[in-house]
Amino acid sequence: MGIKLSEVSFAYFVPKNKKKPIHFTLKNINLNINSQDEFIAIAGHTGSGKSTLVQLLNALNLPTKGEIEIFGHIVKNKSKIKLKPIRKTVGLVFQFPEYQIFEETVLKDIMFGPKNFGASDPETVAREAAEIMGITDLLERSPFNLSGGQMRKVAIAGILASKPEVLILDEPTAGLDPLAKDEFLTFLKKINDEYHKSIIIITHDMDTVSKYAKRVLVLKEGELMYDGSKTELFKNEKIISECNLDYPEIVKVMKGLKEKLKVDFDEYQYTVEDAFKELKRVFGVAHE
Amino acid sequence: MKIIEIKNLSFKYQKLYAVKNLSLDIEQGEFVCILGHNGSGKSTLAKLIVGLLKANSGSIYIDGIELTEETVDELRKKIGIVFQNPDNQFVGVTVKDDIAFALENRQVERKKMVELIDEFSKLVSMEKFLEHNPEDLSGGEKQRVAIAGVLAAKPEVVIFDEATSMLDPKGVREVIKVIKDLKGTKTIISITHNLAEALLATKVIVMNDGEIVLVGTPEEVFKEKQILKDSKLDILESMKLLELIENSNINNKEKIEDVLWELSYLK
Repeated sequence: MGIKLSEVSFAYFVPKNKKKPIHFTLKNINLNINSQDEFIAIAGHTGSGKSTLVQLLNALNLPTKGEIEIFGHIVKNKSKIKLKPIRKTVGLVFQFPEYQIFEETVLKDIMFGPKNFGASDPETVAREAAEIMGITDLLERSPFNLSGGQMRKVAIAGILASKPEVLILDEPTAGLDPLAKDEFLTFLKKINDEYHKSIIIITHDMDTVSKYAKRVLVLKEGELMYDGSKTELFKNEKIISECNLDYPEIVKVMKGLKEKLKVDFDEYQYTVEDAFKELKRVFGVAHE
Repeated sequence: MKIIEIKNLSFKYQKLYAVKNLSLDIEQGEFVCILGHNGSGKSTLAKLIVGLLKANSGSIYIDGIELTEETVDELRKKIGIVFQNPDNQFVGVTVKDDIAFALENRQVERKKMVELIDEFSKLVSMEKFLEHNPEDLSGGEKQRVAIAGVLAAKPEVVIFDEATSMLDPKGVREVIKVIKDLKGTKTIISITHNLAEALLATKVIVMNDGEIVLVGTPEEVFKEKQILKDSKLDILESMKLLELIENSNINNKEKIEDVLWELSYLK
């Protein structure tokens, strides 16, 4: 189970004249996503195909070539597919989901999804989703008087209420301040740790990647350049520079220290505490 | 010379103060960075300065003239604002049209307009994109076009309202470079929660709950780690590491501290 892409290419426009070249936004992607416990970050330059890729994962885009299996449903170009079970299983949260809120109260807004998917008791599942997101105190309020971070949680509770197996979020923390961002990602981690939901996020922020992701996919001009652990990724200087990625903040600091102090140590530390430990190991600590 | 003077300014959304009895002077040519978390009142302050919101009490003087209903149209010409969302600020079908829009509004004659479009598109390195549709540009390119449009109107003050928060790292670098180039030529007010951006400023102001809680040079402000934390701002990772080093008995302590300071400022 899960999601499997086999030799998938995608073009937004296929010219009728077969002699004309097709511009593929995604090229020959092979990818396996487990049904549980994944925490995947998708990185890559603007225009690299990240958003196009996640929209293939819940059949919002259909492959131009190749085949996608989404929790047992085979999706091919021009094949007849039942979209509802796919959309229910793979929840996709767009960028700035707060713009998609429309109901009078938070509760009604969260209930909209499960109602649409035919849940027997939409209110109960909506309340459960609100509980997970820590917004039960907001349920009776108008969603339009909330802060940006709160609105975003409401929008995501709306997706969670449909009980998807996989939750995909397109740049979920764009525009949030640092604390709101950390709080939000911690919620995602909790959904991943405690409810074993697979999480896929698109992000440009390498600190998010290094702190939260278990696996990283890197796209460049529609091709999957990297699929593996974050630790291997950041050590791969070729991929980092070719795909125009950044290093996490603390790795940049450690690289700077290593260069200026001309001392050899392992600069690939992903928390301030680990960086401090590594410095203590190299320089030693004076005893009083 | 003071270009902006704010005296005892207050603004309420319903019952909640977004800006509370705030006073602030900005000198001509200064680069002021206003830091604060979402909801700290920093964007409300920007909207008050450009006259998009009307204060409940207090006053704002721009270039010596008080901002009132009578003077707002005149004073708006002195201030340009670049917004957060690059998609929300285009009117033209081409980059050229878009930069021209501000000039048309100010009835600049055609010959002069062509010169200005040329000048300002070059300033933001977008001169090769003049015939492009803004829709087809990347976020960083869009923001640079927006900046060119704002600058073409020759404002005294340019406000960047979280102008980089929706961009990818490359876009952020492009826009920061343009802001850096502008430094010294215009009065700049940059509203952000990105501490690395604040390092460019000559003066940093930290806002929390509608009030100014801290003012100083970037160096002075970043030393006040507790106030920054209380204001829900994250401090730079290099600063966090510096704090651990300072409180330890690590060998070569001073040398490591020096390099960490240096690294924090070279970004």
